[in-house]
Amino acid sequence: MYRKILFSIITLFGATALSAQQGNLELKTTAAKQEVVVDDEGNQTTRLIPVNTAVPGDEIVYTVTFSNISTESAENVRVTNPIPSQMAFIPGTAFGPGTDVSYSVDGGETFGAPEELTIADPEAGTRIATAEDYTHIRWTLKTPLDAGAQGFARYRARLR
Amino acid sequence: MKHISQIVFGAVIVACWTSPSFAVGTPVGTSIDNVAQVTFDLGGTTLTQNSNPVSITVEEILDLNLLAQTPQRSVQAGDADQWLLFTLTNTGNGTETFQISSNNVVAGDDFDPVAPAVTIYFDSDSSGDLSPADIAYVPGSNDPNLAADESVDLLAVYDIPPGLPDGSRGVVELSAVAATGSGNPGDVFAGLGDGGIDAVVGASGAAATTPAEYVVGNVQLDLVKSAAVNDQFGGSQPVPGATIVYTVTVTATGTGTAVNSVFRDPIPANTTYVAGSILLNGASLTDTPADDAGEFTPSPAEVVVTLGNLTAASGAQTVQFSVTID
Repeated sequence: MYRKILFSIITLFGATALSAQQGNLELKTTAAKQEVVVDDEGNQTTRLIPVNTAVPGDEIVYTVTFSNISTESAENVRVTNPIPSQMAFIPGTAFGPGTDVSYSVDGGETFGAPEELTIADPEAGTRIATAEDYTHIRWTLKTPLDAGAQGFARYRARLR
Repeated sequence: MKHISQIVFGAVIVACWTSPSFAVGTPVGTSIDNVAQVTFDLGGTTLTQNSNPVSITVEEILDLNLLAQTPQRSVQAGDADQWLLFTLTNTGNGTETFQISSNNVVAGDDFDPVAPAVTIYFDSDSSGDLSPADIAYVPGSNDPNLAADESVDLLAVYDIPPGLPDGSRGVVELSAVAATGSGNPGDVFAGLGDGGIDAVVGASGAAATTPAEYVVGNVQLDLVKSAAVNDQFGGSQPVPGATIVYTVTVTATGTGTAVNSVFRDPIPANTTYVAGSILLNGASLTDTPADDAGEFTPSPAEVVVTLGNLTAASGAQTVQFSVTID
């Protein structure tokens, strides 16, 4: 019994390692739905369940984990994630420990804080961009990522 | 310049229909891929790497909206084949078949409308009322099959029993249900969605029941129309450039209520509507729909004024508007 479980964990780990890109930083993306579980005593626990299907209106939690598998410290680390066109980013949900979050409204060319981003509007001239306009999210690490260190970045979006 | 005004009651005319827009979701079967990227400096070199792709496939959501276009209709006791118009919209993200039914025995009303041989028709000719071209709905035989965001207009048709007092209300309910399945939002029908993907019940429960009612009244609306011409030379010659002010009075006579009365008047050929000229009982109304009772629709050019429920006690309603001769 124990052997079987151990075997399957190794298999899973092996598959993950193979699917990730070879290199100095290992980067992995997952999509999940948040589920609230209530036990017999009424205690609520939220957990993330990985998903590969969804229906319009569902909220998806995208998580990008990164780890430095090299022997050197990586500097100026920035993780960038395009927001899929079918997903509507939920404002204020982009988060990552030790990172500054910025957004792009031009397909990932330039990034800025929400108040710095404007959209050229044929009628109103320019206007401040809204979450609907964001095409990419970027998490910039405030400090170098040491060898062996890891972190994650996360955001939520709703399937249109 | 022959010119006919029209009053419609018991029917909400096209221009006044509420047409809510339903944002239909991402189509069933769509694959949504997401790849993250990391850029960093290592040993003086800038490097970029991609993550694994993560893919989400969109399942079918079963949803519908059933709207009563005629929530209330004035009828007379003994009338046969009285219709109520509904619109069924597939608000899901796939193609779905819907089963329709109607119910004439509803608690809380004053009488039960009587079912003729056929109680549900498709408004096949899009006339908004029952006409000879309309095709009878036969359950299981011609259930409407609607693509995502597609709508179909349906008519519930009943007879009104004789001998009812004015003001009697008879309610009819129309129901629609997704053929794949219905239930609580989130219920899953494994493998039954388009292309064999799972189908999931949406917020509507994939079923809807919408009431509409008949109101008995022996009421008539009389229209009297007059026109006054003011030419640009201070006279009253109907020459190009002259203004015609139309005044129409609408008066309810008899007993009962003319519900949802709507006044509509097409702008005559060879004239142009004077913007902002609609008056109701002397008060100015805007040309914009929905902000008040008045509206000017440019195509077809028409003045529309919602008068609401009228009885003999309401007194004469006076609508005025102006056109210029081209």
